[in-house]
Amino acid sequence: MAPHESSFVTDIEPATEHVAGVGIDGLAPYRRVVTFYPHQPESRVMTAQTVQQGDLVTVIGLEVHVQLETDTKIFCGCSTEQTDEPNEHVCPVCLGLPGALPVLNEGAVEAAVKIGKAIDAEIPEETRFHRKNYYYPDLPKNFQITQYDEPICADGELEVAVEGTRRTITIERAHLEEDPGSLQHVGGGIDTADYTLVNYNRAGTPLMEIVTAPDFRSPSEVRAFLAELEEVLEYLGVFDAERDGSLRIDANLSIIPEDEIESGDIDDIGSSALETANRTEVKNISSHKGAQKALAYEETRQKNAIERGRAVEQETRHWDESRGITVSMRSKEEEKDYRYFEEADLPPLRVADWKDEISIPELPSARRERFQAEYGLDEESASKLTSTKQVADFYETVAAEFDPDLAATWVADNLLGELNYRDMEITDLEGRLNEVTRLVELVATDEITAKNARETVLRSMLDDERTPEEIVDAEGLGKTGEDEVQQAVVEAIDENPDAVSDYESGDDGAINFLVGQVMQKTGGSADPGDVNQLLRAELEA
Amino acid sequence: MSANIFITEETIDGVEDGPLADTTVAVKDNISTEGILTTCGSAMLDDYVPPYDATVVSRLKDAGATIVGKTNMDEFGMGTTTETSAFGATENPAAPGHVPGGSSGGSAAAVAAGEADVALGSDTGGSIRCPAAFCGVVGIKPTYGLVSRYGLVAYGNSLEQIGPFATSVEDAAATLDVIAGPDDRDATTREPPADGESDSSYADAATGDVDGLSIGVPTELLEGADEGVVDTFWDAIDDLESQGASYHEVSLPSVEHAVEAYYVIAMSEASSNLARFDGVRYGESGGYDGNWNETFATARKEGFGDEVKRRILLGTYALSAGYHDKYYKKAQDARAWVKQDFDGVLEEADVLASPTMPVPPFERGESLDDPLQMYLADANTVPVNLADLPAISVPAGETDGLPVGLQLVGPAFGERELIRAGSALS
Amino acid sequence: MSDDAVSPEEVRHVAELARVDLADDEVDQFARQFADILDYFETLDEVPEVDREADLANVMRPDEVRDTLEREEALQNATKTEDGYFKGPNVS
Repeated sequence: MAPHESSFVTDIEPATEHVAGVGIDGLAPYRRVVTFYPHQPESRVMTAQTVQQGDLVTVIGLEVHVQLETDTKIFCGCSTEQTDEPNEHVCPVCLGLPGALPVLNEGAVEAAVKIGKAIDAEIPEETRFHRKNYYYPDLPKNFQITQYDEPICADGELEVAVEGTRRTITIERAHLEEDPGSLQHVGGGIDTADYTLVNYNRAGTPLMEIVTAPDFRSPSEVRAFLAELEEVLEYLGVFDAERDGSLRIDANLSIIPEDEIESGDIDDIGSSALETANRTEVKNISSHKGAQKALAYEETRQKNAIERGRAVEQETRHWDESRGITVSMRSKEEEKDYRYFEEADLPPLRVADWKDEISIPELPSARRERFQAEYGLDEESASKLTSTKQVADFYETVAAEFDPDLAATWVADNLLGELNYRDMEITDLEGRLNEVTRLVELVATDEITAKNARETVLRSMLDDERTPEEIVDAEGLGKTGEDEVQQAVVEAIDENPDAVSDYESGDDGAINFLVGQVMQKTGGSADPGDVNQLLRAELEA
Repeated sequence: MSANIFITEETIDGVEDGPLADTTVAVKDNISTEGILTTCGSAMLDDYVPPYDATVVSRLKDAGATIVGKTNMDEFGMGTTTETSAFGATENPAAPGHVPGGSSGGSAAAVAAGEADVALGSDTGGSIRCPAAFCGVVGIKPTYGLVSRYGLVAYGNSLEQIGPFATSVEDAAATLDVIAGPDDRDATTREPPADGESDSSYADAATGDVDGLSIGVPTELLEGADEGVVDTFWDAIDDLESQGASYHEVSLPSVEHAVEAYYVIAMSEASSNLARFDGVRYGESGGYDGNWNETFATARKEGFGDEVKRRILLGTYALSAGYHDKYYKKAQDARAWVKQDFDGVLEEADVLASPTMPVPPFERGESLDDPLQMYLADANTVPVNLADLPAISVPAGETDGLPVGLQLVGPAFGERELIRAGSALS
Repeated sequence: MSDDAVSPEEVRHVAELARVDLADDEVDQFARQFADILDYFETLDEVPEVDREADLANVMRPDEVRDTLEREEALQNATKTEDGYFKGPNVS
């Protein structure tokens, strides 16, 4: 569903009851009326009277669009690589030229199955694509190939931790669809432009639309969920948070008076309370932090209105990140009739068994727990060390060779610290991670001091792109080996005959001078006590 | 008077050698030809030049064929007479003053007039078979999925196939040999299941050997047909019998609903397939005054003819909220019923036979005032598209000097059976 | 559905959904024709529900880059382009 689209008026059999959750059996098509809350054009005034009687509960549901990291588009072989040149990765299919036909990208299906597995969703026996028909200049065919009532994933969940408590968020469905192209408005904003420039590079990029139940009760829960979801998707290798437009969120928010909840339990709102509540759709959110801000703003706006006895319109609002407010898009509220029907150019998918065949990596939360158990790490360290899959992978290679605590200090504190300071990611060290391991080795085997390693070597490795050995040599940082010390001792004695004869004539303090000479020669890294003894041994020999 | 067979006459040479070297081919103007105007008989695309070839066109070129031009057709394939073309009607070389049939009227006429050895057309509800019958030539509609639709401008994408015209069954079969086969750019194509004959070519099947052939004649497809057509039909059946075939009557009760089901499905698909014509990337532009809703509506008002508008609107209606179940869903049920019916009778017969069209070729201008009447003329051909089956129309004779076609319908991927039987009548 | 003709409002609504501008006389003409045709489609009510099985499933292609069009080819049929972009109407 494209960002400019308002959602929810999609049922073609007018729903008389809200279908809260759907079971799937292998043969019956997955039937779901794609509305949480049927379209209600009238606004509802919450009277001051009602409000006095109880608290207001915030109820939020999300629709998250994720761009999948495949090499090519979902229905054609055009590259998905980002480019600044418009209309560079296009072909008859993604341009919607007459006569072109879609062919499904296996990589997109694999990504979808991985996601399904990670969120414990059902993958039905048969799933298929539908056409969603509407007109817009960024939509090359003026229909979008998507999934309607037979999505590839259904009934999943994701656990999130918010302020210490863990909650399970139900993911009602997740389906595959194609991205439209991108528009530039020329000569004004979206409302006032003279004309539009259209670029179809993005058209056909595979998207996964993930729809949650209205399970959230606060904007911070939403943020935690989205952060966790992003992490899971990155772990799966199907998502890149850095990529522009890779995450787009539409949120639906309702404020419901507590006493309207039949069950009395705010986690079980019930269909009639949801149906009669107003809900606002907030669009144009593109990050988990943005989601929290947008929904916090919206929640406050609505609660204020209710408490002052003002009407809350049922409408779609646009999140303006730069101004920190949501703006009504009421002019776009029209009954939308998408005339869904099966996409006959794409045969159905029978991929339920792919769930067993495709493997997914250990997911972040499981990995965190294992790190605590296996490596004896505390929660905070475990969290830092699983912040990305690459960090966690690297930590484990280091912990395999050296003491886990040392490894933890080095990866979590030192390495990540220096990287963060330089706005770098661990992935920027691709191909050089063995150098970091070598550095840890140098410390573990006492070849250099931890202080030097941290302050000099590591920083130089990052800033000057030199290897640890190069830096240690250049700066003379090696905790000197015995032979070298011995060598220096011999040299100091040879070069300073006066001090030697002073010592031999009973001036014990002269040895300090010689120790100093040896220390100089070894760049200060030899142990003075050892040097003292070695000198004496040498002199008395 | 010019026959107005071609919209574009241009020669494109294929490779030097190949099975179709020395063969000239006319290509229906809804099949994409790289660098050559492809109009679909519509003002909407009157200056559209595709940047790519349809798969069938590449295959023709690779077989050494010489393409001689793009032929006239009913606009976007919607019609039974080639009179809805924005470029004017086409004369029927075998019946002057009468329509050549549609929507591939230009292709059939090109072959009938000797302007090309063979031709390609497309058949959504009879658009190859009807003009083949009206022009007195051979036309084959392949099994759905045998021939790639990549590059065929879609009208009813779950119904249509590209197929050949020729003056002989063998030549049509030889063309089919070149264009048939799976294409990784069309996800609906597939390899025919292996059977005893899979190694032999379609052309080799044109033996005319019908000894022992069992023919089923669906009584519903003879009801209400023109007497002269029916007589000619039975003459052709007699001919086959004299060569060793036998016939028996069968019943297909579902075909009573075939025309409605076909039109609901075809129009619904058309309303979606033709949505892409908005003037932004190609085609008639609506300008930049006003917003996109307005400019799109202007472009489409100006670019589309009446029949196309009618079908787009009806298709939109059939899919719209509140009507989807009543029309579209019911039409799909009817389709499944038709498939079941055909599969049933084809277990008791090798092929089915009927007149291709229930009437002889219309006079020019006769059919245009009453769209519903026109739709009903497709009664014999549309059930085959609904059932995804192959069919051939071969000349059966004449009535009142006007060509009559015999339609043979086979089981899925049973083209060789049709070619064998059809070649008995040449 | 009753025997009433399709109303001009319905025709206009459908024309809007389909983005096809119609003149007033066209609206009336279509309204009349539609009534006949839709009446004819009514008989679909009699059709029993029949299950369908797909002939094909799991048709996919590998996730590998394939030939694309050159930008000039992509733009060649557009009425107006600007700096490599297609020009479209505004979307207010």
